[in-house]
Amino acid sequence: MFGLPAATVAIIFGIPAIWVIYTLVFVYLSRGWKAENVAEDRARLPGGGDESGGTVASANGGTA
Amino acid sequence: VNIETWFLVIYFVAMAGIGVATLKMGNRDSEGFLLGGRSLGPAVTALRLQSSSMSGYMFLGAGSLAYTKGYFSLWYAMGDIGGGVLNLSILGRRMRKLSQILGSLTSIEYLEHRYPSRWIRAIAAPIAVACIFFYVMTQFIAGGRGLEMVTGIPYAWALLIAVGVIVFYTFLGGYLAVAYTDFVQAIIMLIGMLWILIGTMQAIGGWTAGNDAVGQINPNLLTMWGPDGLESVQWGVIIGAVLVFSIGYLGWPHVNVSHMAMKRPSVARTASMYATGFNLLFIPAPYIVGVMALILLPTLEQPRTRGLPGRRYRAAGLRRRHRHGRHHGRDHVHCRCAAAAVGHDRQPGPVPPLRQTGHDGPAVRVDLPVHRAHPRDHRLLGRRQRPALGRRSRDLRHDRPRRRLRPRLRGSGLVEEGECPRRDRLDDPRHRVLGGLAAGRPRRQHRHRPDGHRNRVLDAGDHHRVAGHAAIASGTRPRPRRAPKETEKIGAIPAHMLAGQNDALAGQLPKDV
Repeated sequence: MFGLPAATVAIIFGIPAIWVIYTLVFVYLSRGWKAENVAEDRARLPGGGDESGGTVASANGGTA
Repeated sequence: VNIETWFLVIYFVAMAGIGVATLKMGNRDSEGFLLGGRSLGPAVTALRLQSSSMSGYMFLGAGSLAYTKGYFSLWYAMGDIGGGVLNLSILGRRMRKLSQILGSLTSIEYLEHRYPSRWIRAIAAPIAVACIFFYVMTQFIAGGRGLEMVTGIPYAWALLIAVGVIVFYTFLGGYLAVAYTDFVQAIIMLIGMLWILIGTMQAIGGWTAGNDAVGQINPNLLTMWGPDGLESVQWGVIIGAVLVFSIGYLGWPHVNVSHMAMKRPSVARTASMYATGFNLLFIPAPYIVGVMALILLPTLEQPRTRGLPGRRYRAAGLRRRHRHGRHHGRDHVHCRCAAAAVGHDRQPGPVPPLRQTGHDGPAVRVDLPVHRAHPRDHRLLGRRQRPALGRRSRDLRHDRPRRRLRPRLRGSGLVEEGECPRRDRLDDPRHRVLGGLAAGRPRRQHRHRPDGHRNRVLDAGDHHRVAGHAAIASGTRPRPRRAPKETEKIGAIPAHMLAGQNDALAGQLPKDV
């Protein structure tokens, strides 16, 4: 294909495909991250609570 | 002033304008200057991350690597494509949250807060300064070189302008200016690279046709194992190539700061899609263009004479002295020229007209290793500056017949076939001597080749234009396609940029010649 050896085609298309899959999986698994925005916005408001209390724990544990 | 220069002027003004526009944020406070007030969205975060990570390597190094190694060079791209999403998925959200919680504005400050110790800064800061210093220096050099090649202005001035603009907008707008200029640059890079890729594909008649032509130079260039084939593949290099640009820049300061400056931690999620999309479009392109340059610009660099396949070709590397009778003031025109065979046909057929003579007709592109030439002869080579030759011409007045000078000035030129009256003199029809531009009065006009043939290269001619060269052309390869007009704009590579050129160039040539 494209005048290239089969191994070359497999590598130059296969490895980028793996990265695409990785990205899609990451996006899927991190779909709940936006919920944190609400909590962060609430924390930023005056009197919204302790900003650092709960977020350290969540920051240490990421999806990917 | 050419159009490229005008574009550059507009570009620099735009970059400086971004610096001025972000002045307010840059002057707000430390967080505003160092992190842009943590206000960046996914597109700017991703493209800024990628453009700052690409560096001058992608435009100057990647194509060169592909030119010498073929598709083997794409191992670097294979890792690089995933570098952005790896960064954002592993570090992005964490760095954003932790840096804000800890009140950190820089990578080192983050380490200092995260692992409280007075040694953190003492150890990390010198390491970062030393590493980043050289990293930034290479980027400055790449910028200066690029500006020099496009505009033709001296390198020192090009470097000064490039650095001046960068420093200007950085000091004005801080990180926000850097991020937005990087964002604009990423878009320019992407458009420019795709433009070049599409133009290249059009010029070579498509990717398949280009690969077929490259395969005729050396089939191994089409493999992922290097120009020497699977037998001598360097697995360590392959593993390193994949890793260096994938996990290799996790945690680099300019990458971390990109994470820290995100508007929200969740920006990393959307930014990963931008990063992967950008990388898929951009990263393979310079490598593929570099491979195809073997067809479009076969003499972009020249293998050293000793690296040529087949010892018989070396015989055409004539070494002679010329002493011209005419005086030019005190300056005798002493020239020491060498001719070299660079093997195989060199784009016979319609190529852009000779710049020097204005002829428009079939021409042959040849390599010109020159040992000594008068400065004005460099006009023949399309050069502006004097060559950086090691010995001054007066050394040659003392008639040192056996001094062997290594060619230090190389270039390529187009020689009209009509200027090559000595072609087809040899018995072997595959070998034609194409004698050239220049003349001088060679004392020895023949040189025996190991295969029994003699190369007669130059005889009479203009005594004052010396840039001797010759090339042996071989008719064994199919005649190439029409060379693109763009090559007309590509002058010879400045001599000082050819210093220390890669011996691996010999690897692109077939072993069995």
